[in-house]
Amino acid sequence: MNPTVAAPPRTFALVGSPNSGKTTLFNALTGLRAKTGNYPGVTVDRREGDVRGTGVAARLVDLPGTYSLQAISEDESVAVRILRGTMTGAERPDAAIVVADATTIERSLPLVAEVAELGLPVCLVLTMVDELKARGGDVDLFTLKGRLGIPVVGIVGHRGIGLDDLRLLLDNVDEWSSFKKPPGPAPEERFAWTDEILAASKRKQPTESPLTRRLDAVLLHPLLGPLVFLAFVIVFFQSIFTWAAPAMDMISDGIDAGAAWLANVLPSGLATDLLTEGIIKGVGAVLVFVPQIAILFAILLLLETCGYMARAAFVIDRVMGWAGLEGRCFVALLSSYACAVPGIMATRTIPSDRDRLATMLAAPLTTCSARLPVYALLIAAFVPPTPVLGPLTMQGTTLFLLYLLGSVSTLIVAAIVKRGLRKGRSLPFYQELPPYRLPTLRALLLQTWQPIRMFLRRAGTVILAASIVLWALLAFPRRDAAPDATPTQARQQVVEQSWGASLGRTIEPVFEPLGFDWRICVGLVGSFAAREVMVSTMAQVYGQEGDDETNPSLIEKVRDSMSPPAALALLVFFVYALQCVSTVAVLRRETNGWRWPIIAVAYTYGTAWLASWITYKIASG
Amino acid sequence: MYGKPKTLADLPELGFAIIRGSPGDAPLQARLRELGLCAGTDVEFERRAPLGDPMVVRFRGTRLCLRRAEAALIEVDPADEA
Repeated sequence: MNPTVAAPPRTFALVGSPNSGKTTLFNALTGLRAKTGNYPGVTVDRREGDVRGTGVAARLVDLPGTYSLQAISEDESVAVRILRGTMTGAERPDAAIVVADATTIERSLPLVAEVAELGLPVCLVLTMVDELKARGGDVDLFTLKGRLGIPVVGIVGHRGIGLDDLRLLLDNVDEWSSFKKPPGPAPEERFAWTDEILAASKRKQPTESPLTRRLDAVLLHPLLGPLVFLAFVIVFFQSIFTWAAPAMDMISDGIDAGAAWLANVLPSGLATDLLTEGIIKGVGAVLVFVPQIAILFAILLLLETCGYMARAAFVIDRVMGWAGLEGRCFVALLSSYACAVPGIMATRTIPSDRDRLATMLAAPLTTCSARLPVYALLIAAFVPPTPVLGPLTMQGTTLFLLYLLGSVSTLIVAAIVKRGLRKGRSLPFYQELPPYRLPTLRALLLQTWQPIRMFLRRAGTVILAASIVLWALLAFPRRDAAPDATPTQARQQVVEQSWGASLGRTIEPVFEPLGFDWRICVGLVGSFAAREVMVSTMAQVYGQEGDDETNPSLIEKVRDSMSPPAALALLVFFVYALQCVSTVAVLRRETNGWRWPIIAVAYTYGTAWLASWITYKIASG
Repeated sequence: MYGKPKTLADLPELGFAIIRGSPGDAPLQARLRELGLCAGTDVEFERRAPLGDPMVVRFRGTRLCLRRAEAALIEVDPADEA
């Protein structure tokens, strides 16, 4: 398999428009799993991977999706600069593979001409040839190859069909035939050239798939469309609660049992306490939310890859337009529901600096998955699971309302920033409606695993570190307990007189108007690192209280020690506050300075305080 | 004939049209041309979004969502005249 001499691998750039099947091909060839999507603009980061199964070492560089080499966004300009070899930090690839959806070659052949003009060896890979045939379309690859002059391969990426031919082609890049007569540079000339070649290649356009037609008749229907959109959103939020509950209980019980067992077998002392109360319970309190995060991402990814997200964007675009935003801002904001970090990175696809900045500043208000543990805990503690409508309960409704509050606030902030900045031209919104395509289960599971792995890594780093620091703050200074105190009472006395408690009490006056006591304040300090730390802090602060015998769950402890208005105010606080060092870091990187991250932190905390105060006042009556 | 030239924004009423061109050199118009919305392309109206904007148009085997504001930049000839 491996060449005898370790020569540097040849690099091939994958070029293609969004939805061309480029990412699926990348995954199939490299076995590396990158995010695939039907949604234009998903591929932002440059990704590389070694091709498996070639005779000569070959490396693929997956370029951001681009319709044309006349780049209008930063994202596209990255693709162009890599192809030209002018990208700093990236070597020019040895050859380019243009990937085009066989069902829409009428639109993609001009890109082949553009890439060929850069002077690199080029080949054309037509994806989804099975779908082309199934929908009654056709194209003669042999003639197409003859007319273009360059190698052409038809593949079915997710089934691996045609990949052997492609690997063989990659092995013999030196023998690639070169591009024939290029058309003139104007789009009109390129499309005329396209039509001529396709006519010669006996191109037959596929008919629309009946499934896509029938689904769109409902999903884009003037009345049914928005209703289905709303239903999707509601089911989405409710399922996060309903489906995740059994797995969450299991993990939670397992962690408690493990901590209890360790506390029994290890000698009691500071080290054991750090391990059981600080590390296991602190990180464990966050790990409990892995099932919910898995469900959130699985649903988001499924909707994205099957093509529904593009429809949702179409249905909701008018609302985005009201905020002065365009379609690609919607994509970035939608990604932010998973996590603001990839969402802010996705703004690179937005051509206008103003739209981009407005989106970046608003993105931290979208309800990211890190808020979910806090929301879930407080909702479970304070909102009864009373049925509202069908499977929807009060808990699901509350969660939905919190997401709604976050979404509306996001749009308002985006609109304010957009109008506050010097007036800019409005930008094109165009977006393809790809046919509906079901992803393979394997691809879906592997894609869902990526964000879970990221979450676990956060749990193992930022959250672990913050949990240990908070444990230390809450466990020191050591004091001798009253002689008649039970172990729990003794611990409680330590916590109450700890440095953490003094810190909490120091900032308590700031948050007292919101109904937050010093315990919540300690959590707020910790959650600046990451929102999830709030939950682990609560586990530490409240975990030390209560009776040894009844051993109430964290949910019950929280319920007993917080007033409902304060809990509501705390929920609202988490809707607004930018409590996440990762987001601050990515904002600094993407805006190239501290100015915007500082503004973002200031305005989100300011709004959080104000909105929580109003909430607390209203809720307390 | 017409007080104003027809644009792609009139497509919902026209149903079909042939693109005449998009006067102007803004990057956005260039991009729309590169997507295939250039002189000579046949375009068919499919539907409007539930809130009235944007719309879905079909051309060159592609379905594209386009806002009215952008569509108004592209001049068209009604298909029955060509």
